[in-house]
Amino acid sequence: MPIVNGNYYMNGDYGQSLEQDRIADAFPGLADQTGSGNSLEDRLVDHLTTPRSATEPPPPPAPPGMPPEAYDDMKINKLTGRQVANIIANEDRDVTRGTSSPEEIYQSKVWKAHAIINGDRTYGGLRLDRVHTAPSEVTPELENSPQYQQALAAARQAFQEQLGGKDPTDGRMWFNNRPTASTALRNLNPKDPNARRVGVFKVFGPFQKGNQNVYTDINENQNPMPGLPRKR
Amino acid sequence: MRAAKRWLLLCAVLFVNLPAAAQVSQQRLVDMMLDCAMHSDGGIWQPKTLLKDGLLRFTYLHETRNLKPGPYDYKDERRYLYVAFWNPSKADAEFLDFSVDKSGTRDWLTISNSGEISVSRGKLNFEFFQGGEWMREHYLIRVRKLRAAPVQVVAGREIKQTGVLCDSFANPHPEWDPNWQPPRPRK
Repeated sequence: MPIVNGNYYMNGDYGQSLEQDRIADAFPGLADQTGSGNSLEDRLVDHLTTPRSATEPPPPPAPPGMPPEAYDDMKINKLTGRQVANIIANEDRDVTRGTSSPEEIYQSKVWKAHAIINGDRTYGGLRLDRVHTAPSEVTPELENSPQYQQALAAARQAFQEQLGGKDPTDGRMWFNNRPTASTALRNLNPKDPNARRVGVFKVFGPFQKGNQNVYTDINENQNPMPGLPRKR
Repeated sequence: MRAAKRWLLLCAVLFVNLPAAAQVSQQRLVDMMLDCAMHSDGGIWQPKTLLKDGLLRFTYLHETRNLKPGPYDYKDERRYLYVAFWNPSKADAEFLDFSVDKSGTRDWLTISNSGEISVSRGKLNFEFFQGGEWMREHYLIRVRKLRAAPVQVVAGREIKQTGVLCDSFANPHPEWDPNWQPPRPRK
């Protein structure tokens, strides 16, 4: 049975068409960048959606010769991969891993990248009013820091994973840096005890900023999000 | 000569009226913000606990394009409105971040984040719903200004319906923007 972009299909051609549609739906910005036939974007989508035998070893995540920085100029909806990295670098500025492992802080950035990508996919140009984050530009000083390289690697990984239909946040969009590891429900209006609440889905940390602890929360979306389709 | 006099008169009228027009615009913005906070369909930000005496105490900060943006300023041309609803002792407040937009010809305010301000023994504490370290620094700059600003008081019953469109991150209506395309459910 053929396998296309990680999913099994009885008919390879049908699977290829479906997977190409899925990528175009999830990444309208990238879909706009394809079509010239031989661009990196076209090569990437072709590579991901080529039917393969399930008995073959899995293909590399990108076509041969495609450098990791190729993701930086590719668009999700309105944001490019690099802009996602810029937001993460701004939001994590001066946060160090503290007593946590290097993998823990890296994964927190990958999850943030997924959350930002989900916000861009859902709201496009309206994202900043509903999934509020730092701007998508960075200073030259920050761009040349080791912290920035980690944010860039996380954004590239998240972009690649989402193209393959993988999203550890499962569509969640909201993240928050907080001083405690509390997983208590987040009240959307702290002053109103009857206001709606959302859960904390995942907590990363403790990290450190100066002499203070910082935890990264990935919060639940409301389900359904008003005005949006119900999540599976 | 007569044309020149008329031109001078027109300039004088415009000069006198411009600040008034700007004031009206600012007042309209405040009216819309109060309308949004108190009457919006979402309704979740009605600061009920602050209305025990029927009065709403607030300070606000309206920001437009900043020509000399600092490291924690947005560099775009959007309009932002930051509001703190204070308790009578001004030690505790509910913080709302609004963005100001248009949908066609209608004014459109979106509550894009919420937070809580508390002052204990002179120390300012601030918690907010979404964002990381950049957002925290961005807000702390605004929260300090909100704390220093003179408190405005309005009676809850005097808050007007303004016809503004109002949504929020918790009650979003992106479909009010004709250019927005809903995401397709994942297959």
